[in-house]
Amino acid sequence: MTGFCWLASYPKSGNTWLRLALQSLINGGKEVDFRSRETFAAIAASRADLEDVLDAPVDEMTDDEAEALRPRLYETQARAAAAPLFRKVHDACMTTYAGEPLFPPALTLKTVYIVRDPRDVAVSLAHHTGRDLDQTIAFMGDPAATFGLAGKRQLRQVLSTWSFHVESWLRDGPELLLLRYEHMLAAPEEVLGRVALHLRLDASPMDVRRAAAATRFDRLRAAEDRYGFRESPAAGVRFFRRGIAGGWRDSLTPAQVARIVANHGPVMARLGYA
Amino acid sequence: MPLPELPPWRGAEGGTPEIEVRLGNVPDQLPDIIHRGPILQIGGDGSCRYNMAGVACFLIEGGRRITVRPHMAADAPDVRLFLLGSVFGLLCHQRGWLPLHACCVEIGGRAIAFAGPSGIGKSTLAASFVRQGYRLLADDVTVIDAHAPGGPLVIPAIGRIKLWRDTLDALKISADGLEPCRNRMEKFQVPVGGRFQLTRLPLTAIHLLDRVSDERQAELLPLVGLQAVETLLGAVYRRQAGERMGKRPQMLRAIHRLLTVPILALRYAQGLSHLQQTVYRMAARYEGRGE
Amino acid sequence: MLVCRRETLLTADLADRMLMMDPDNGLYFELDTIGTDIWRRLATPVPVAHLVADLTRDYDAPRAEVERDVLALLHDMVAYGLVTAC
Repeated sequence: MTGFCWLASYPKSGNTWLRLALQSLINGGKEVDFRSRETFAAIAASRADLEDVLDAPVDEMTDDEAEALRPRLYETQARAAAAPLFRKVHDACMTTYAGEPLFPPALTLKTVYIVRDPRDVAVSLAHHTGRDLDQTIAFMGDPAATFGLAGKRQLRQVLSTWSFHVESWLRDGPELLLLRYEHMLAAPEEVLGRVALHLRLDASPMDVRRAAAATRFDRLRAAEDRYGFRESPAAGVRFFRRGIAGGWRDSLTPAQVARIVANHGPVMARLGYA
Repeated sequence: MPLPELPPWRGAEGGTPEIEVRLGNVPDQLPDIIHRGPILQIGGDGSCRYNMAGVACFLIEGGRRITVRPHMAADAPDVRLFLLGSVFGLLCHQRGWLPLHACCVEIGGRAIAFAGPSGIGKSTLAASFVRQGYRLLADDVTVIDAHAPGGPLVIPAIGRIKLWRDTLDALKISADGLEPCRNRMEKFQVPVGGRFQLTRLPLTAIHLLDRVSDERQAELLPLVGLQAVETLLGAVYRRQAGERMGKRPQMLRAIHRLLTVPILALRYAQGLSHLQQTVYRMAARYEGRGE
Repeated sequence: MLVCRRETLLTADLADRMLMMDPDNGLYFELDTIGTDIWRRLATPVPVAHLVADLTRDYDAPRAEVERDVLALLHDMVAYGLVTAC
């Protein structure tokens, strides 16, 4: 019997970088192999897990029904596992359609939540989904917004608005460490060290330094150029694109910025994204 | 229980049916339970209890008897969807039939199967074949009697194709009058009528479907040895449940028999026009082999 | 000591290899060319010493090397229940 470490974030907020860095870290700072199919921290909303572990007929189920079973999935997995389980999460921290917490506090060992300036998220997400910026900004302000396509490998994940997402995790995320994308970019070694401590990973300062160096943005980008990245949304679309903070300044119009601020001003102010 | 998806009984009047489905009570707990999950329970005698909250609870026994306790109107399509899907899959494992997650069509008098995970396009491919005049044996689960005396046979079961609304639109099939698979679900049952293959046919090839993003990567290549075994095992419908029932040896024996038919990886590009080409190519490939 | 094949295994001949499935424990294996050749030589129970001698002759290889490789393979095959000592 063990529990889960949730690595949670709104999409395009640095979750993948953190997972790659942790993958490198637990391997003593080794280069991440982009050709390998293994990734550290598989997605919590895995369709295959629900099918394989619970014999759930996901094809025939509604999204709400599948979601209501996820706490059962995590219980079963935690019961069977000997070591802590790591999962990537894009869902908001909320209750299921059946009225219980999607991420059961009793099964949660640790949570890491990564937040990123929503103006940069908008630019990155638009690129990732192939939608235009206005649509993406509307999506980030839509209380009913969901992620994960029907019939694909992921179950539906309710994101709701960017603000709701952030607040849900800050309010209800058990054992939470809050990280900023901008800080990860500026001081990866320091951030990775804090994460390792929070998650109680057995890693030396040397491992942390090596892992941070092995997953510098330019190195990941070069590796993607060479081997491709299997989490890319489509052929020819980069996953590791710019990796900068404040890039929105040359991508968003003043009206678009104003819409984001109108939607998310209070939460932005609270997090220092003024 | 009315089951409009199934063809009418054509055997001898008063003959013994092979599989019996009835409404009745299902115990909360099976005797000598060997597996207890929130959906599936397995009893010591190999019986299965399959519970879908809000829809129905099913008891599957001896590979021939299914008892249904509906949690909603017994004639709702929802109940039949699970009955003719997962529940039927469990019954196949009990019976010693191999259910493959595959669609299957008749080409040149033989059964050609296309296997792959959900969302890979099995039903759309099946609908495209039917539209070209080929007969359907299965749209989602292809049931195989691997040990039939003359070689593996496909047992046809259900004369309908389940399609999402966007696929119906793409294929220009009107959803008017079609029954939704479930109340408020945008997936519909499309009956194939006379295009249903009623008798068992020899299985002649199994394709493992995979989508590629670029048409230049499209290919058809034979799978042999471990690769063939692994891909077939991965394509067994409700395999985990079968393994929990202790049926892995039985599955391996069936797969061993399937290795006598060609197993091929079929990688095709996304999009309806590529799908159409795949249909033409496959038809040409297997029609030539005729009787 | 004689080495015997377990006869309940399911096998399939590939061009230059052999596929084996053990339905009793659900495992499956693939033998390479030489492994397949050795498996065929075990069709009737054979003493290990004879097997090594025959292979040394047919492959024109140093006896010590053949012996080491054959014993390693037989060790694995016994461990997975593909052959037994009889």
